[in-house]
Amino acid sequence: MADDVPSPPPEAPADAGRRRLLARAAIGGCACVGAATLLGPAGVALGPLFQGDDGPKDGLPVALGPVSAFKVGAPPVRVVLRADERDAWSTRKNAPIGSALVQRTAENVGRNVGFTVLSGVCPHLGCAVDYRDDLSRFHCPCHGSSFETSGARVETTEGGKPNPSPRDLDPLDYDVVNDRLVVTWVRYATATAERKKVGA
Amino acid sequence: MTAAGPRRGGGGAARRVLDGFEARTGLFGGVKTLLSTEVAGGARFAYALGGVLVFLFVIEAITGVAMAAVYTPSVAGAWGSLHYLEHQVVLGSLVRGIHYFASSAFIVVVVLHMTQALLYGAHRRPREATWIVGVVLLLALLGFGITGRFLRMDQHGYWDTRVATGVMGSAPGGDILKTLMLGGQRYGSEALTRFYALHVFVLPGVFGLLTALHLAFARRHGPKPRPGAKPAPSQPWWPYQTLRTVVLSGVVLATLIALTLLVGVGLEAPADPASAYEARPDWYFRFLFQLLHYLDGPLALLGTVVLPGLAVVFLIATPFIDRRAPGEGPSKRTLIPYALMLVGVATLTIVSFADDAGNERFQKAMAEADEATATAEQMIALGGIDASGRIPLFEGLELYRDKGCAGCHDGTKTPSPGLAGYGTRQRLEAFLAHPNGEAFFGKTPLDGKMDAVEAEGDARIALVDYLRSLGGHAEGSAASVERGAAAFVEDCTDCHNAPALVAGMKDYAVDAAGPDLAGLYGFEWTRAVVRNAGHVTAYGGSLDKDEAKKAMPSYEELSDEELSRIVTWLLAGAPGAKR
Ligand code: FES
Repeated sequence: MADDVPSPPPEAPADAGRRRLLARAAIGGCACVGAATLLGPAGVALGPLFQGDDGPKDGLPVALGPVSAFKVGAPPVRVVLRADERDAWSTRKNAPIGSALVQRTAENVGRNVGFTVLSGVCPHLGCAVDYRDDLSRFHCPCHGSSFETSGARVETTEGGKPNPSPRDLDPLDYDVVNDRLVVTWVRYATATAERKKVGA
Repeated sequence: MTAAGPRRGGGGAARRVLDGFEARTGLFGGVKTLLSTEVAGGARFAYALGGVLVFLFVIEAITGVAMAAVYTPSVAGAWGSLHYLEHQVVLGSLVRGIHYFASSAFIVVVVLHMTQALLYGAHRRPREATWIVGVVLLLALLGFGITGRFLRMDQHGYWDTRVATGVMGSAPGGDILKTLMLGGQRYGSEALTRFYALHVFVLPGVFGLLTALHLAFARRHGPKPRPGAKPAPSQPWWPYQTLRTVVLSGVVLATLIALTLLVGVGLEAPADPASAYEARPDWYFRFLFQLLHYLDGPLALLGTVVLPGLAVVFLIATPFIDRRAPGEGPSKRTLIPYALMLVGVATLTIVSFADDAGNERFQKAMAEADEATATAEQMIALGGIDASGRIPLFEGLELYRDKGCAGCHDGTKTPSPGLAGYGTRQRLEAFLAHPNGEAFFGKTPLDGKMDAVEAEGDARIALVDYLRSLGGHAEGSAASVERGAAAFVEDCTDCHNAPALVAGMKDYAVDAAGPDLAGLYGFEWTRAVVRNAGHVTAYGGSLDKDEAKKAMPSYEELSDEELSRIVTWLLAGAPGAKR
């Protein structure tokens, strides 16, 4: 005990109840002050759960260039989708927002006719799927998901392993506008058997 | 020297001040008590592992703060600031290297520390709390690894994080965790700042606090001697144990520095969400990556949640599974599962690396990634990084490849001019000498449309000086330009149109077939040519209908910005063009 503090008189028994009451008040006080302090930071931390998605808006049409660039019978190509993007506080023109796998299937083209257009995002865990001509299939380099050129999931992949992808590749809507192929970009949740939009 | 307390001797006044300070703060005494803690059974190198871990934490903190003085946690700034740190900041790459390798060393030493504790029975009564806090520390450590990688914003860090968080999101309830970590659904600005906050504030805070608890608990019970060790007299921590800890820490630090200098961390090309990249996690997560290779579909849950969950539960419960007395040797009930776990993790890790080593496609992809990194470096050396964090020449080159320009210009299948050195004086000189060479008009529809320039010596230099001056490149003297202009009027105006740049010279506005050379190799001139090379004022004037069909198409769909990027790249000499 420090030598400049006089020792207190012993507590009177009558004070015990008062002490308990004050203790409760102190606990309550701590809880209130603590909660008030944490309220703001908790909002920032948990906000994304209640906020809509801020990403490139789903349903964004992206022009992929003249239809004549895609020939019937040619193998599928992987095209980078570029669009104006909003990322939190910043906007960016012509940012690469994703990729699509495109194959022309018929001479006659139009709204959702004549092409196979698939999202290049692997339904397994989101790596980038590419076309492999040695397999004549779409293939994901990360865990080896494999798909027919139609996008259909194959049961066993190269090497006889089961396909890790829970579903087929995700088709994207497209249209032909002024002789240009325009794709509607949508992001789908990965790792689910059912196809649902991200954030939906 | 004694561990603490005012030094003996010296002036009485100094002594009095120190004594007074000690009476008011008790600092010396406190330190002395800490340092003189008895080490039961005497100091051991085995006990130094914990000290090394504290040392590693301090290293991470110090190098982390040093990096934070440069690193910019924004999508625009992250990669560029790290590139700057790595290449320009004095000793920056050393600091980053130590930080990176120390995180790996952390994992290694933690495993050694745990194994040792298990063998010595240091998890048993009364040290259970120390052990459990230790396990939680290990988990926090893995959190550092996950959050740190993304901060690099290079291909490697970006894609690894996408896959790692993808795994997380696939677990039940993991979606919420993932949303919270990313601040949404995307791997952009908010994800970066959140990872930064976690890596730099939250985790160090949690880790520091837990470390303090771990140390306090450990100190309360002292080190646990090896079961069956001959009883030996105890020694104070200072200097016996201290020295051993310092020696081991020195060895570790030397290893970190050696790794930095010999291997280095590297920074891959900036993250490109549209690229196809073969993601692989850091080595200490490889086992999980490999495990997920085997466990697909409905079994995936086993790999993402069940097995890792069981492992964590097992580790936390170890002190209670083990029923032996504190002084006894290791218990089979804990040692066998623990050893199996280690062997499993090691095997999976080795298999994963071996798989990749034998996978030609993966090797090729890695080589491609290295090449992209080298290209980015080259483009930065030539054209820098702009304020929005982009590498203009790299983006120009990528557009050149993406937009199909490279398809013709990089190869020789479709006859087309090579572009290497585009817009430079040397290339212009070479062109004038051999306009129909392979690198220029040869075999293209323009083959034979232009004759080689015959002028030699000064006359030729003068002509080039004049042509260069058209696009604003003042390379020759006024007299030389004037002389070149005169020669141009004399020999070239049958086909070419060019403005009078020289005082007193007539403005030749002939209706010429060849390209209009006003502004030759200037920004606007080049833009117009790329946009529509077949225009009458460009190369179209000298082509008939059939020839025009075989010539370069117009690129109307390029946005102005894309066009500018390609032209910026072209006028930098088209670095990275194959020919
Ligand atoms: S992310 Fe494509 S197979 Fe796993």
